[in-house]
Amino acid sequence: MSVFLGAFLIIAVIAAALLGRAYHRSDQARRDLAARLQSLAASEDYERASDRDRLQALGAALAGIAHDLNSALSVVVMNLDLLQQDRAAEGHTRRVEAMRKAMEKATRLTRHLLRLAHRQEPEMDVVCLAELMPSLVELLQAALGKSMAIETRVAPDLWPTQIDVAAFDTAALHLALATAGAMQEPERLTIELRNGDGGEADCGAADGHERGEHVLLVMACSGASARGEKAPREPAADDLFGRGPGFAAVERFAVRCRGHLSIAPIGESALRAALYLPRCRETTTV
Amino acid sequence: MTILDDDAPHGHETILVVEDDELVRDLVVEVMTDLGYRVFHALDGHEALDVIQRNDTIDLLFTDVALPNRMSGIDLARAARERRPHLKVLLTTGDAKLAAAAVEFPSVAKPYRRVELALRLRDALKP
Repeated sequence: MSVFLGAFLIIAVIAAALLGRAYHRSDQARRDLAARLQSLAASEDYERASDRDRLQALGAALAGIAHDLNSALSVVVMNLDLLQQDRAAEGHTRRVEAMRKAMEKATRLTRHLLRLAHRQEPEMDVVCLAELMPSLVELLQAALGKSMAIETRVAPDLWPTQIDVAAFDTAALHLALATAGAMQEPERLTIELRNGDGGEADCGAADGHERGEHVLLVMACSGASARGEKAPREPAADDLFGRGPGFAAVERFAVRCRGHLSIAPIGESALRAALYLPRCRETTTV
Repeated sequence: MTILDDDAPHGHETILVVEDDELVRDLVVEVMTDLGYRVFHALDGHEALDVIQRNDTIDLLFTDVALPNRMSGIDLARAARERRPHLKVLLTTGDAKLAAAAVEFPSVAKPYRRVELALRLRDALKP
């Protein structure tokens, strides 16, 4: 009896020791895993923080450059005014006017730079997007390069809509870059502004969004061939200076304006992205 | 309505121009003098405060918002107002967001045409 008791005690002690070691190991394993997860989170935080820092630095650089550009433009603009008053320059009126138009374009582009550089609190204004188109096309042509042909179609009786005007440039830039970026060899970007009643042809109802009167900003890019069947909606919204899909940023803009975004391929060689913005029945404020 | 440069109003007051960009400063001084004003100039806020201290005839401070040597145009304008409560101020900037921080002062955004500058000066100099 005492032998069995002794054996039992020995086995019990050994079992306790083994269980204790196993517990210690699993506890250690848990601590190791927790440490690894913390490290991973820290590295992701670091990457996100690095991206934020990079964007902040770029924003500050853009604002600084635009500020200095405006100072330089002041010198040219006022000298043009003085030249126009100078009788000796009377024979150069055409050249002075050409320089003035170029300066006005440079001023508009600098304003775009400042809007892109500054993160502002959203301010919703009632606008007719047709009024914003000429300067928008200048911005997009500058961003997409001369090899991209840009064609515009604007409906004559476009409805007003309420948007964050300061964010519109950035959203439109994202939309154009993302639409063109989905093509292997983009050749032509067509920008269309028209009214929509939410019917099937406008795709609004097909995506499950509320039907209703909308203003549509449609960008369609055609080229040699498309990347895949449908451009993925990747959350690469902060990649402002790349040409990868940045539709997530456009979606956020659309949601802020109570609208939505729809993307669809057109055959195998074109992509269409449509930004739906609700019609506003108030008078335009901008 | 297009305002012609010939419509640029003139004046006779004394203006202090504060601008660190030499090209801009020299041109603005030339344009203001041509419009009939008596013009002083300074490179930064510290020099400007010295000029204001030594000249109680200055009617208007025209300053860029972005200035060197740790005193912004807004800081300068506020310090100058403490010394000369009746001093008129007109800010200028290449980035309108910078001027928005000082709602108590009017501002004119760069780039401005000669006639626009002339009109804004008259507005700022109103009693």
